[in-house]
Amino acid sequence: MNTSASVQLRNNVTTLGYGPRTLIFVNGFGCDQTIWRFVAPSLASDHHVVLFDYVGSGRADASAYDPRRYGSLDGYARDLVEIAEALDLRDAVLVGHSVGCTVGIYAALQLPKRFERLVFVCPSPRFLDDPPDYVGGFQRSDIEGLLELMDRNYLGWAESFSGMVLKEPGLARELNDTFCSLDRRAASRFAELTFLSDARAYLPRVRQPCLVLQCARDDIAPTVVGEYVREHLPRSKYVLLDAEGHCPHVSHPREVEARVREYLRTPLEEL
Amino acid sequence: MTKSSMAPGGSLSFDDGRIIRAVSEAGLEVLGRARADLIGASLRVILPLPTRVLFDAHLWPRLALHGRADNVYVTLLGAADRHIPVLLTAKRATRGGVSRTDFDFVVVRRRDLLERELSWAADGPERPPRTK
Repeated sequence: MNTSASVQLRNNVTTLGYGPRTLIFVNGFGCDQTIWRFVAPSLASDHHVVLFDYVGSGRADASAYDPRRYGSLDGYARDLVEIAEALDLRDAVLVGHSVGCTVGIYAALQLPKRFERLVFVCPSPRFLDDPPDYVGGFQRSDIEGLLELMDRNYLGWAESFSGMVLKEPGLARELNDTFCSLDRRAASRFAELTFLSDARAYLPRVRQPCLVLQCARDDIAPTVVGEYVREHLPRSKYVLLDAEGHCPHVSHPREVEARVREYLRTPLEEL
Repeated sequence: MTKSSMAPGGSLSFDDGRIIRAVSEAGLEVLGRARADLIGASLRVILPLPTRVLFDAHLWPRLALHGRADNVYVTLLGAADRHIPVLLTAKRATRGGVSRTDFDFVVVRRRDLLERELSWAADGPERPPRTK
């Protein structure tokens, strides 16, 4: 049985700041909790902030990687549920990015009372096109191309991850090596789960209000996908950011922070 | 001719709007493209979709957080949509008060084989099957 301490160790849970409200950040494919570095510390000035790494990334316990548990996104959602329970979160705000939104949906459906509202940054419930009615932006050959690319990056992944695993001496080296560090095999499998997942059926079941932040020029989650999410979440507010790329919390952190703060100021009954 | 334009591998620079601002002669040769086709164009014209995903989801955050990413295998899009396997080093820099991202790349056709062998050796019989 997992204890609170073992869950926090497994997922390298870190907390910042103090405040009456807790924000828990759920990152997407391709990085670890360090991706929130440009927004989390400033939000922590008046909020309790929780960050964590998926098993297979960052400083999570690499030995905890179980191909069966993490053979579906539900396994990652179970980790999130266990973190929420371990920290006894109540009425928290779940801030997800990309597939982290899907993981967040699965967790929020299981624990509705622990998450009061949601913030989705560049969500996509399905990356693959599903003609004739759904445009996700990708065809299966694109996904296979990405997986091939990741398989061809053995040396690159090893270089970024080994410093963390081996705990090479030198704090600077260790910190540098853990930025967006990924275990190659876990990352490859997570990519597959991410880009072949389909969470569209779950959107209408989400009861929490949700802020959807969409980048105007995003190749991974195009605007048509953000609009789909807006239309299918029962209580959503949609904001189109004049931003390029898939990570506005990296490229436009002050705007993302401002939008989040504005949303959090809005009384729940008005959402 | 600048020093970078004479480098053996290709190189290019783009701004924070991902508009290409400079390309070396070797870079043009690798890509098989004319300078006029690239300068002022979006970076996406030389990134096939899988590379764009890797760039957006992994490389760009690493660059923002760490300032550089070394030895990343990607494919670039050459003339006639030819996919060109390269080993890429990306660095953030500020020149004249303007932020730039620099790509240095060398063609590595044989790296494919090495990476494949390493993956198979590392995964062994436990390699999870691909969902097709």
